[in-house]
Amino acid sequence: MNISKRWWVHTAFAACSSFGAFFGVGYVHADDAIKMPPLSASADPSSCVHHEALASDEPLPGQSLYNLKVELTDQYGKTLSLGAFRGQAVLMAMFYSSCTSICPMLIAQLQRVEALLPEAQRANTPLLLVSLDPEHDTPARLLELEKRHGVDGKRWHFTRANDADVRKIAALLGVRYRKLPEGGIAHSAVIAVLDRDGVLVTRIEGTGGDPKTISAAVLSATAKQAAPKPH
Amino acid sequence: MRARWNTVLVVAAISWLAVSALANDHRPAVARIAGLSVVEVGAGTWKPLYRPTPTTSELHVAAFWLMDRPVTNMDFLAFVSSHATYRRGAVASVFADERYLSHWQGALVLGAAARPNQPVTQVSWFAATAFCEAHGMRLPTEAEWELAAAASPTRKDGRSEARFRKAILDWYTTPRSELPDVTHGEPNLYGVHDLHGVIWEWVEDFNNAVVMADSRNQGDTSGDRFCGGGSLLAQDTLDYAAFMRVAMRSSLEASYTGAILGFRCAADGGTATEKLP
Repeated sequence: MNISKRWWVHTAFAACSSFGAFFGVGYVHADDAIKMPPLSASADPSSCVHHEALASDEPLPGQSLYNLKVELTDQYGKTLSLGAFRGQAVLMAMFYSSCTSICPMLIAQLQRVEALLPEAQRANTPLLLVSLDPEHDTPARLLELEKRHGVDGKRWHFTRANDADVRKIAALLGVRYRKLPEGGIAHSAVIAVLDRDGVLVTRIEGTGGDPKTISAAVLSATAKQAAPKPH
Repeated sequence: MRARWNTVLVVAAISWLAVSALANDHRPAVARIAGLSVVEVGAGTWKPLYRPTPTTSELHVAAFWLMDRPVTNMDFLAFVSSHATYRRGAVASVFADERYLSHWQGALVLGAAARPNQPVTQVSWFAATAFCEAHGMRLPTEAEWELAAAASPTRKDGRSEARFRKAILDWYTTPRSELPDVTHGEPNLYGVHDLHGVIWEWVEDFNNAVVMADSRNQGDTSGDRFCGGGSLLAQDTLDYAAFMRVAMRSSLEASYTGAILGFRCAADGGTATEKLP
């Protein structure tokens, strides 16, 4: 991709995000999402995906992961920004769909964490999973993964991004990985809890730890929401 | 007499052809990408110090373009001038730590401690990546960087040359008070300068040090490599400098900046370039 094209995409996306934030456009869920046209530089707000319902228009803290402007595509083919869930505590992890050992364990651990959350909190805690294998993980395969694990697609977002952006997200989360010549990806398993501004507040390596540690981190990251909300 | 002159001319012509053929064989392909001078490196195979998997000892590296020198302070100043979010003081702390460009006099002033042609250092992986992307390039992968760095001035793989190894190691033992300007050393066979003896360089996949597929023993993501008998698993235990590079990379975080840590950019072999004659 040449520079000018990439620049356009970023600019268009940034324009969409700020538009959504400004008008307080509601979060559109997959079930009622219309099929989105490809991202273009158009100023027409209907070409934007509005995940910014909870987004604050306050500047991001310097430590916020949401400073990274990347575009993710979820299992329903919808595009969203990394900061789509600003305003909520977020559970984040990286995986790939053809991974048969650590990734199912990672998802199982996230399910245990979820089960420990009080119901109201659970409904308000998105899980953002980013594939390390964008080459193979199409939205269709990501949707299969959602079905296979029987998780709630309203809260579980299985996403892909381009290779360069995946490397950046991994760098932010401290996920180490390497594509193997014979196929597959070696990677470290990391579960991250982001606060409502996207600051990484808890980072757990591995899938065997006590899920209570993580659910407690989610609760404490959410407690910060007690701060007065921008109308 | 006439016959002898003919012979001399023929011999001279053959010698000239032979010499130019040899020279062509070793003359690097040169091009410019977004104003930065690049040379073609590879294709080739690189044997990592540690096998990426038990069954793989070599990786194929496709031909790629690599900047013939590290990115300089002057290059980076031009970049931050047009990319305000990467200026010192403005950059998000998640992308660069507090020492980012701290040797510059100001956000847009190099000052006495940063000569224009010195390699830029005190830059994070995120900042290096952003610079390369702004120039239509990317950071080289570890395999690409190592393939380029294996070349001595005369051979594609100079690592068996005692003199080449010694020259590399001398850097680690020679204290220096300041960084030399770029293209300070002799170019290698591909026409690349300063891969050794000046700075450490970021690579795209600096965070690739995972011990095993699916890495279930989480405590061991780096321990297997560096603790105890880890070195017994290495493929070439004489290549001390390679050990140091592996150890260095695996200790890095993407927002980290260091006084001798800089970078250069690379691009895929097929990337459209303004080729030079």
